[in-house]
Amino acid sequence: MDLTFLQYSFIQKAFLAGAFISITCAALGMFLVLRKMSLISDGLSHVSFGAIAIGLFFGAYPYYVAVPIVIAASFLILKITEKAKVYGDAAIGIVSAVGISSGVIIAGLSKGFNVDLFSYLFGNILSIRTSEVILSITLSLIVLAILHFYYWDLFSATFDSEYARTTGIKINKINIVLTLLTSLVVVLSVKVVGILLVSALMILPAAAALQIAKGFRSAIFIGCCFSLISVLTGITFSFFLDLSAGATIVMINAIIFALSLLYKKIA
Amino acid sequence: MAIKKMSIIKINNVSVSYNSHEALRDVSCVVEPADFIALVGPNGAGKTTLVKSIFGLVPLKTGSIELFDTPARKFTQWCKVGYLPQQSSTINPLFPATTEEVIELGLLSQKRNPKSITAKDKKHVAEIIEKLKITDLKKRMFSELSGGQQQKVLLARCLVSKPQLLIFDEPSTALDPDSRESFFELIKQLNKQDGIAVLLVTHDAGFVGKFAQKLLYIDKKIVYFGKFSEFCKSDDMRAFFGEHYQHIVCHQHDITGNN
Repeated sequence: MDLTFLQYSFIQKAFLAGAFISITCAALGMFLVLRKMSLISDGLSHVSFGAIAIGLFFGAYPYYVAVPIVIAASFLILKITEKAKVYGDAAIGIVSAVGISSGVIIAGLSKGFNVDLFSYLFGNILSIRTSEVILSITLSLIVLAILHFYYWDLFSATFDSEYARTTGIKINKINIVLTLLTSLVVVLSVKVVGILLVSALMILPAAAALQIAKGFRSAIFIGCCFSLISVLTGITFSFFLDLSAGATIVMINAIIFALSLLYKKIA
Repeated sequence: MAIKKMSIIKINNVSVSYNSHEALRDVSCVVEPADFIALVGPNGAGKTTLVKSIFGLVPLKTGSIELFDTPARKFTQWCKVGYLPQQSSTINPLFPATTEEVIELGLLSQKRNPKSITAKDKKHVAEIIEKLKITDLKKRMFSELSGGQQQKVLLARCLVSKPQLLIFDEPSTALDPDSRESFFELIKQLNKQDGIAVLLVTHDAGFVGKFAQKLLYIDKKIVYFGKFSEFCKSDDMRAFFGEHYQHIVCHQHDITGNN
């Protein structure tokens, strides 16, 4: 294979940011999937649609606007679940609908940036800027460090929350940490696969790893590897075949998931 | 000044209500070191509520609870307490943990963030695995084990922090009679040899008298609290339970019925 494409700086940037984001998504996704919270990433990505529209409307850098709004939305989901007589999935549905509709209304009001806004729906990692690469790496490292810090608490709370409580682990705090991290990672992944496919990047690698892993540490490791492979090969394929990078990455993830199901059947 | 005797759990006049439904009424009792207490009562008698209130998982309407002479709300040394819940009721069935990883979770109560498992911890885990004779399960996935094997692994998770109190909530629900017998025998051994206080919740009063020393029978309030041997002699209890059930529970007689 001709490897000269690796010399393009936009490919290098895409690889670098994609590698960090993919590993972060998979590691966090494992906890979300096992805690039955995976759809929260879907809901929050819809909120980021509204938030990015607000950013574009006011001429601000969309990601800076999106981070605080998505974090606020994630707390809203927790609060609705806690205070109102509503289960988590319904709370996610409510917040996600509000996110999409506010985005659509703002886009209608402005009449100017529809094209811009819709490019966020599908993402484009090949157009990532150097400042965004630095932001991606920094945020990924922060998220991974926090995951490492709370690894055993998260493990225990996810495996058996009642027992975790008896060992002094605060489940509420763990839920807040998880939703906070999810907010950050959702905004981060919008650039890679776009708003519509963010949740795939968090769910699929974890779901595939769960089919074949023989231990928790190995499950996280395998999930991260799958995710990394999918992003790197996805970017490569999209470059050579002129396909959308985000959609290609998700399809490769889906193929890996199908193969791991098959492997589980045979092995 | 007299030296105050240490107690493991002290429950003072505890009442608990769920909304308007009363779950516990004015319960008081003390668990002392090396006690083996069977907490017995019919369904809905408040057994699990009592255990939850010990862990501070339900709010008390009145009364107070002390753990190791510290008010339960201020108690932080959770490593002194091992808890084995009803068979896997809250365990995530898809979770890909190995037996060894599950047992390591028992060490977390001694640690501060960022928590990590050291080589010394691994040695502790290996010792417990050996003690409970589950070496063959060490690398296997917890979710693939049988009910009896899982229960032993969860017991190991309790024991690895070297607790002074073990609380079991219906530990034998999923076990066949043979595994149940050997499981209770194991608990009795831990109580006798290592001096660990045991509070065992069960609805099977007729079986547990073989192993436990004291009976705490509740039905929202305390019906009986004392030694199994004295339960048998109590006229009040005969009036409450009837003579036949009284003798099944107390387990102080051999099979032929002679005392």
